[in-house]
Amino acid sequence: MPIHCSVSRDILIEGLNSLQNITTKKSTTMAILSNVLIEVTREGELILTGTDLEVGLRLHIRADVEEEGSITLPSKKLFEIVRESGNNLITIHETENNWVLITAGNSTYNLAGMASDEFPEFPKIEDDTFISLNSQIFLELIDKIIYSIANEQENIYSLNAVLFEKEKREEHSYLKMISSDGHRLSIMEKQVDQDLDALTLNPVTLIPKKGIQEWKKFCEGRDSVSISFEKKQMVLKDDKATMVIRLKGGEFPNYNAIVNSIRQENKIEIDRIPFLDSLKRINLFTEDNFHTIKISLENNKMILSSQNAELGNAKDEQTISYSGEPMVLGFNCRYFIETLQVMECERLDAYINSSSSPCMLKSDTDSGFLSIIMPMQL
Amino acid sequence: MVNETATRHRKIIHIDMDAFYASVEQLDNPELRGEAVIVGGSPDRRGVVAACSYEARRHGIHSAMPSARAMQLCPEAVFLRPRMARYKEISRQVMAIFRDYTDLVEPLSLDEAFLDVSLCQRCQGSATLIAREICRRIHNETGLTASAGVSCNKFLAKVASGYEKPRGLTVVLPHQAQDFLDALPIGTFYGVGQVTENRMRRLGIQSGYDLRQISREELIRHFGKAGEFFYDIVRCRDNRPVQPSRLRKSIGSEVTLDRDTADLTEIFAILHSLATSIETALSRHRQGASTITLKVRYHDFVTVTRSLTLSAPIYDRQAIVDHIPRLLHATEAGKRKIRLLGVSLSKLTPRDRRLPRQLPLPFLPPSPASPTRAGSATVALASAGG
Repeated sequence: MPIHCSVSRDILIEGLNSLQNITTKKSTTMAILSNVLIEVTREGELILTGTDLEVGLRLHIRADVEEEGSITLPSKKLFEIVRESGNNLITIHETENNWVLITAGNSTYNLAGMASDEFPEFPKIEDDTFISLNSQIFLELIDKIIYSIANEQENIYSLNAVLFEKEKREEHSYLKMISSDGHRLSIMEKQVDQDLDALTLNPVTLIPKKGIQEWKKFCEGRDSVSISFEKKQMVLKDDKATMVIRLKGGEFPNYNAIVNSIRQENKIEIDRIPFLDSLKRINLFTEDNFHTIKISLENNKMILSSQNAELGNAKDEQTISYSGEPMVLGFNCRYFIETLQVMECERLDAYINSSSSPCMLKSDTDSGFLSIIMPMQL
Repeated sequence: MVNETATRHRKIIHIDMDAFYASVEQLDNPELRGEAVIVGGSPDRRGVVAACSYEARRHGIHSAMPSARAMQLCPEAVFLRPRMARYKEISRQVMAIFRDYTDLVEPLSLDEAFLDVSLCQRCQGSATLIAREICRRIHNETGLTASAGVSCNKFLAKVASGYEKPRGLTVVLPHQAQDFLDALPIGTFYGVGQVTENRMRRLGIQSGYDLRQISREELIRHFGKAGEFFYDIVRCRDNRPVQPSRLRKSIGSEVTLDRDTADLTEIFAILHSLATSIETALSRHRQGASTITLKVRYHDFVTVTRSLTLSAPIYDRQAIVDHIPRLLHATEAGKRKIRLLGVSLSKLTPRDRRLPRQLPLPFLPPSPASPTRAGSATVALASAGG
């Protein structure tokens, strides 16, 4: 079926833009995955679909349809054509053999596509019990934990994914995300007004890092999204778009065991912003790989220092509230910086019990948030 | 004779002992002389041929062949277990001879080395005479024979030493180099194995001359990085220096199992013992390593490697052991029978300086009821067929 339609440049570019991250993943096995599927329907709709087999996104946009049909076109090139085009109407017309003629004002492009029947089928959505939630809830959850997801599978646990949980306590419902790279752990919990009973999570629901990134993007620019979980995938949607994220298999560590193992006795109170600024200064002299800093705690005083074999060293002093034993600890400076950056409080509480046990950071202002960082052995 | 006046040419010698392990055995056991001697694993168990005497080679036996196959080809062959300590002892003697001529000695293994004799004044500075004298001294002082190749770069010297074995001395002078390379059958190019040879032949490349007709781009397209190497090599461009203290690039250990197994408990036990011996080697060389590679050869000789690079170097057995399940998981261990297991560490870093070490969160191990099925499909692991 030769496709023939006209579509507004602005609408098309927005759609193609949100597909770029999904379609530009290098795929050596399936060339067609770097293409975007374009389907034009009798109802005056153009449907864009992209997938990397982990995350799939399907967008419905309005179009003037001359002839319905479907084809796949190189996602990046199509995006570039539309982006560079000065005209606000783009016409796509299949001429022959999977070639399309794209017209934008005085510019014409002949672009080679691939037949749509080779494109992987968009996953079927079986569960129709969607719960609609304010996007802000997901954005807050994701922003507080996204920085500590492992990049690679560095562990027997699936740490390159985020653990997603729901909980009911005293008649209140909570959503929870937990991430860890094996050296630190972040937990964020949000109370939601809706009843979450219809949300059917697996015993261990793991969302891969890429899925989390795309989930975040999906929420940005939308007030609310509907969400549903199936055994092997999760679905996000609104009336114009559907995103399917394949869940990851595997296990996640028992994070509660770690949280509970930290005695909340030896407490340090620190002003967040001055601490953050101090860390950034000290980080100027850390070694590239580990960003090691030394933290010395004394009575109401914290001394941060770093040493670089080639550059020299740096030292900074902070006033804190601390009355415990003097201690010297090593830490990856970046871990602290990243945690402090997502916190919002003025003053935070840190619990440190020894130079080789986990350190916990939290504050009453940052309700629902908890960060745990393992020290370094100096 | 290498042109003494042409100082811009380097004088490189490659010396390769003839059938080294087997020759040592024949040297130490005179009754074995003239016999087909095979050093390696036992044929009724599952070893492979590590080295064989020229008498054995006449039967079509070559190194890396399963001993059982060698036994079929030559039932009267004498099979011997390798005696590495003895080979090392003789190797030290031979390397000492090399160092009489130059400090630029790069051993490639116990039985071969490159020598850069460009600045050596002995034998009137003639590399050819030096090579001849070295081979004679090896014979006089150890009773063994060696073959030598002399030329202006490492590649040519290496090809030349294998040109006429045993007891060969082949000299390729700079002005003869291009003709020599042109006439070289493609299979004898160092770095061209059977697979590459077949692909070369499919491209119509039979000789160095044919190879030289192919553009750099095309060679890179067909052979990747090696293509570039072939392009330069066949034009006599090889500036690789002879590196006396060639830095060790990896530390590893592997073992052919007594019998094929799919038993994971047994496999883990073997891998743990390999990890122990690697730990010893790491500490002996005072090194840490950031990349771990697991090698698995299945019963049908299909070999896969799985490797993973860590953010920080590891130093001990436990750290190696910690990563093994994940690597093993990316193989078909447990489902397919395995005949060989190997572990090696690369990206070595000296551990003179005690680096700060990031401690891991004390996660409890997963409960036994939930096997470590984590991410079998998504683990980004390098995979190489073999």
